[in-house]
Amino acid sequence: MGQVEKVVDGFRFLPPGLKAWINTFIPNEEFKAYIPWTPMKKPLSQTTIALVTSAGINLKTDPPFDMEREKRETFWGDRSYRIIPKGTTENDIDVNHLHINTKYIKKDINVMLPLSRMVEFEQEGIIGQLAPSSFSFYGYQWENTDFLKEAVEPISKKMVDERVEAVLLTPA
Amino acid sequence: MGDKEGQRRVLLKTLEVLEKAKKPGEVWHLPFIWPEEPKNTDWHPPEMSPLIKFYLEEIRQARKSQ
Repeated sequence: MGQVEKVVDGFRFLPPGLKAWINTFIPNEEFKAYIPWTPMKKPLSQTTIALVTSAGINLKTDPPFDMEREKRETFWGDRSYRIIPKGTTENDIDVNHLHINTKYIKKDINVMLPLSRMVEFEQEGIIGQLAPSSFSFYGYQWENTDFLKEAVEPISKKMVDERVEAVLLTPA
Repeated sequence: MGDKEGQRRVLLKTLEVLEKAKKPGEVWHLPFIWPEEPKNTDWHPPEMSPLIKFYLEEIRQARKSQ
């Protein structure tokens, strides 16, 4: 007997109405577009890794993501980004996001941006190192071209400066 | 929150995918199951987001049309 392929319901945790609505936008066909691909060049134990999250985390010393404008302009999302340095803890951050419950991240940053766990892995030789900077942006974006220019481009340059070789994205 | 060992297990498996994936679009089903039923989870924002407010009637209609 052949192995049964596991099927995961990606909408399992959505309310039924939202699931039904989102499904109206998704074509009933297999995804066939080009996916960029760069294989890992080194073992993890020699690789410099940065974390990126779309959870709207900012240092308390930085401006928060702009929720007020989104409340006035439904189809606008803050396109800026924030640098989250290695060693940052939940005591150093605030979280602003109108589409998730942010209270868990404020109590334990590692549920979203596992900086402490990655430092442990670095100390244990599991990864080469966690880069000095990880990054947070706001995952509600409509003007993608502007977002690429205003956030992704400078984030990428900073990663090149810090010799980042792999990125782990934790979406919110 | 505060589940260091759980966070480590999930992250280690995720990093394994990063290291061992052989082609674009590859999907690994990891051996973790969220311990709560969806209706008992608390991931929603305290207030309905502006987008959901805007489309609330369409969302209700989509549910009815199922």
